[in-house]
Amino acid sequence: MDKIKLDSFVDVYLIGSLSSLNIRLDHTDKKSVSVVKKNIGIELPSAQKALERNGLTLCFVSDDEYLLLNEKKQNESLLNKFKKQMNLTTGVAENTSDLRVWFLIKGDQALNALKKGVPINLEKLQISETNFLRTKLGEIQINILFKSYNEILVSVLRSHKEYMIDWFEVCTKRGTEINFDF
Amino acid sequence: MSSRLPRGGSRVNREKLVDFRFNGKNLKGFDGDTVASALLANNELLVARSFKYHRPRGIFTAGEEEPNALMGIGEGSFFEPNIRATEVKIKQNMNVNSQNHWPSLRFDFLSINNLLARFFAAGFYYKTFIWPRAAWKYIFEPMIRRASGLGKAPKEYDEEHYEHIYHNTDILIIGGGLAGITAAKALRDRGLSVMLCEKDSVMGGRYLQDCKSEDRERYKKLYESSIEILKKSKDIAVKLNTCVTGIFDHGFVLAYEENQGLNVTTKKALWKIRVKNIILCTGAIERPIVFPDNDLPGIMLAASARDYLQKYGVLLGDRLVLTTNNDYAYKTAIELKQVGIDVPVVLDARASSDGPLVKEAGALGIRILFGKCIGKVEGKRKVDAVGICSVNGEGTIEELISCNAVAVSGGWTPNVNLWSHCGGKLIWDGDLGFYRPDPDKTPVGKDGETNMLALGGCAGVFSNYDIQDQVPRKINQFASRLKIKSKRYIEPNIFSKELERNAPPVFVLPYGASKDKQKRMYIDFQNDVKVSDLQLAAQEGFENVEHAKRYTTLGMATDQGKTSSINGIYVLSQSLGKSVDTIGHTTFRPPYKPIPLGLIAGQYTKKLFKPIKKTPIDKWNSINNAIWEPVADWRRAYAYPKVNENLEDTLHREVLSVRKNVGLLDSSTLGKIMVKGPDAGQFLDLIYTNMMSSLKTGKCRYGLMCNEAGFVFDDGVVARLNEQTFLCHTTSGGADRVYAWFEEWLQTEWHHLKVFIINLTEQYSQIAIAGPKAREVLQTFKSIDLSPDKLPFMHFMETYIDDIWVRVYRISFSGELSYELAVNSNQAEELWNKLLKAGKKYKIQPYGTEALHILRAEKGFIVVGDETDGTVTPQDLGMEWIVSKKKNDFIGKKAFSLPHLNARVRKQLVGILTLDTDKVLPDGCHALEDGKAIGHVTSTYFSPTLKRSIALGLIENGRSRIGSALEFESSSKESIFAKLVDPSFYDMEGSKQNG
Amino acid sequence: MLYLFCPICRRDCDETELSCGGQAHLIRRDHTSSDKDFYRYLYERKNDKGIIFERWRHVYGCGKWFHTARCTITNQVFGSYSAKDALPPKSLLAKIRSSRVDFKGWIK
Repeated sequence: MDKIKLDSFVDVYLIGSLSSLNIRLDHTDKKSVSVVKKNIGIELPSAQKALERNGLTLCFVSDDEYLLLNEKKQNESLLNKFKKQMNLTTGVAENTSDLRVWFLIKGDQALNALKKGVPINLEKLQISETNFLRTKLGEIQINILFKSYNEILVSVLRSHKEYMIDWFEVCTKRGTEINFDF
Repeated sequence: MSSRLPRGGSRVNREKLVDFRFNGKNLKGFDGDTVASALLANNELLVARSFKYHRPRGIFTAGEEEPNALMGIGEGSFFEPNIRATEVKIKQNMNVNSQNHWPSLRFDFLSINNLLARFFAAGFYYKTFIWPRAAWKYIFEPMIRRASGLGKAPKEYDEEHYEHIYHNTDILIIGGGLAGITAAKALRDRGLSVMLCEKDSVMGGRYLQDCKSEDRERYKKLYESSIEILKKSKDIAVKLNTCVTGIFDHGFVLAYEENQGLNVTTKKALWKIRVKNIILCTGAIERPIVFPDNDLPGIMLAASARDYLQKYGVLLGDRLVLTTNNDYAYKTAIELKQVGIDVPVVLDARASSDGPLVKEAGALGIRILFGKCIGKVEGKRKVDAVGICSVNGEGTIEELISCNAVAVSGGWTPNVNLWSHCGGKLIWDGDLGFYRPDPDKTPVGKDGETNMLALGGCAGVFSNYDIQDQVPRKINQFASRLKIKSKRYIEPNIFSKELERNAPPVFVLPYGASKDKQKRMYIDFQNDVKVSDLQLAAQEGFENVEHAKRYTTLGMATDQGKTSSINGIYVLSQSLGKSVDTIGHTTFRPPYKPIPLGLIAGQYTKKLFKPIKKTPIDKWNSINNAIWEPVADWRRAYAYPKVNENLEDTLHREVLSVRKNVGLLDSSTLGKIMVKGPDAGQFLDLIYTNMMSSLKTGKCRYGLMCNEAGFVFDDGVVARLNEQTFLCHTTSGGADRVYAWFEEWLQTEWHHLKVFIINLTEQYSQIAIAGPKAREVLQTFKSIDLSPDKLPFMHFMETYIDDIWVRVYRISFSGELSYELAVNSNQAEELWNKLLKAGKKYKIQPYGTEALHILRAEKGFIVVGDETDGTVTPQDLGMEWIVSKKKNDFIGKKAFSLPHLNARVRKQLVGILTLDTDKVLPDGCHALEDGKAIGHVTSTYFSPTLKRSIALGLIENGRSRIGSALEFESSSKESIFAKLVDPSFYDMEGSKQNG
Repeated sequence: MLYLFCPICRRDCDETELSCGGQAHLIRRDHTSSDKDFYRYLYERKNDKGIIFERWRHVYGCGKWFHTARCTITNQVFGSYSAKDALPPKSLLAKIRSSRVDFKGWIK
């Protein structure tokens, strides 16, 4: 994890790739649902939620698509087994670790940084129950995983990595904080 | 003459002098002055020349409703034209220039237009400049171009930093005057998030300027305690310097924040606010009375004259006449008299009035004449004297009063623009003479319910007592309708009930003004629209207010008619003999006041303008001198020229290296979609024109995709990974489109099919290694076995290059022996370097997209987007072989049987060889027969392999014309002749790629 | 700018997160249909002044399609429902009927 050198009002770190799987399944198909439960040990999350267990985070993308993130190397063999079993059902699980790049935004202005480009209601009251969002930032797709209001993980397509760094440079520049007069 | 008082001015800091330049003249002002107040302090009354007639104009107001004083401010990359001098604060060394005159402001040659005014009445351009036609090019057009417009367009890139900021709030209060502040106090602690936007740099609106001096302490106390309450409230957020500029559907609001002179990086921000409800407290704008010669410098709105006195310590003149129809305007006469200005007379249009302000003016010794108004103004570039006449009659001058300032007030117009932006309707109040929001026809939100409440001046409620009385009550009602915590808010009323003086509304005086006078009575200053113009419009049949507006250009200038709309509507109604409310009003549109174009772009300019997608090989491409080609959102390497190599030689080298040795291509941008499920084969059979379910595991098949109208829109190789899993490749530009296409069919039509798809376009990078030596290069890696029987043409295998996992496809777009290696993107750069190193002794060279296109064109392979344009069928391309006859249903099947795709003449794909082998046909040029265009060139190159030009094209009945020559129009002067041939030029049997 | 509720993500989204798919509930015609029916399927679309039923795809979010019922005069949105529904749900039609007296109901 490298801190990106910026003159900004938040700290931005480039994390790079996170080991991840895209999972698609029919949630009414008992077989595929049980494969998830047995191997990953996490319930299918509901909208705007991500559930964590043992270094694995399962995020809701849609009612038939989930993103599984892995932070522990020890989970690799478990994930391989899961992938094989999942692909034997009507669902599918495929490695997508390389296709996105993750950044970490840290600081008490983290939410305000996002307000420069994300057209979603990010007021604290609105997102108190939310920890995973999929939306756009300016003109590109973005995933947002909230660790807390001050620690926010975001990912974009790997082809947009440099654009994202440029975006941070311009939009989190010190002096461009969002302020209210009172 | 206008001047500055030795003391006073609530907005200026007299300790801090500021130097600035006006039309090259060095002037001084105080920190806090606007350009307008500083100019007036320096006796600069003449500040502009009007649009059409180049009449001398002065500062008319103290706010954003200013129609005259438009300046060019700044220089170079920060130059902005058409800025209202009343809104910009002066800064050290600021450069200010007036507009629309030549050679100078004082001596403007084009004021000659004024003398010819009778020829330039409204709509003159519909009736003139018709004949002779030749005169258009040499006389009329250049003349009109020079004369048109006000400010000069900036010549340099706008270097100002703009930002977009998104925000959500439950309630948005627009305006921080008495009504806005009271509303905010009433809405706090109700569990709602409240945002208040105030366009000025301080709160209060007209509140502090309008109180009598003996009330000032009491007023100030209420103001200060209110601000304290707002500051302490956790649920109220206030933004100053932020003007709400547009209200759109479903509670979407745009606000323009302008931080002038503050030490921040973001000077200008566009707030994009999503709100549930809006409380509109935008107050009212004073309306002038229209009288003859009413546009000379030195004539100003009455309250504005008072604003200059109170805020900046500036006097409009030292001898001022007031013309009015209401008590309120008397405050101007009184306050100016109190600082020692001579007020020779007040001309009151009413028959009489005994209000306290009128009495106070009389007590100060001011002469008041009732039933009188101004019949003419004398002076060339400033006011020298006014002629008094009776309000009735045609304006015979009874008495001449010398003066150098005139204050005008015809009443107040509620500021209703924002109410109207999103569907709110207005109602005409005949007693008070204005349009105000109709509380029964409010704007509605997404749920069909009212989402806006208008309070205070913008609702036609002007008295402080009434505001203080009504606002808390209306907010309580509003809150209970929203079913929120309704704590009844009570506000003690510190104001006394003012006695109502129902002033009969007055718009244009004198009532019977002669035709001659009407030609000098200006309604819309910015567009030079006179009373006579509106009468002309009515006379010529432009009776509808929308037609009259466009015919006269009333209200179409940058001030959007803020001080002129109502007066214009009144004149139109009089001309038609109708009442004002049957005339209606024109549509108010965002932005409320002009906003810079840069604001709309925000920070999404320069390197943030277009998100450019970069492949994992992009860095290597950069270092190795690649020329870039944009392909959809990607940037790809077009070619890799060596130092001092011209492009033609580069392409020559790259193409021949693939034909003779081995080349390396980054094809990472190709779309890759995994299609998985028990019904995957069935699904793909419906999508592609050919059979896919019969494809065996380990094999690849090229497929074509059409839309329901039968037109080709994408193509690519499909690989079968196992029984239930296919990997579909798409064109680089088509990845997202094809993914969306698949999802649309699976979600909305064939949702019974058990199929899931995953977009793996960026998960895998793809590197093509092509040429006779390709296999040898790959075989240098011991981990891989590529003997022809192990990996035949159109098969794939998963293996390793050293420790890097790859999927090797034996497919060829170049027509040579070729392998495409799919690798996980994180290892792509490493693999690329390994391949370059391994291929060094075989003289491996990277090649770009242009060489690739030449190679495939030599083979006659189509490129979707070149040979197809959304109207081309597989049959047109000569690809009947790819359209399955066995399949029951697939997208496009019905379309292929339609008459227009069968009975009529269709353009067909052919090869084109110019008779002169060195001539290369221009891309897209037309084939001609008997002067008619019968087709065009879709791809054209000079082929290094064949040492001559080649081209592909779509020509009517092309296939039956093979062997004959056609004329191609290569330019307006030149034609090139070429022979039509089969669309393939090299290795027709395919021996190279199959080896 | 419209603010529509995505029934999958269970949140409101700006119109800029969505892609409009035009008229809802089109009946797909295949090779068994007449030429006339096929042309109508390809090219004929309603353009009502009043309540319309349309499709939207949440491109920048879940990627899912959904339907909405919207009034083209006031932009009032009556509700969002699943893309799999071949017809607007009865409860939604009842809701529209209760506030719009002149609503003629769902017409194919």
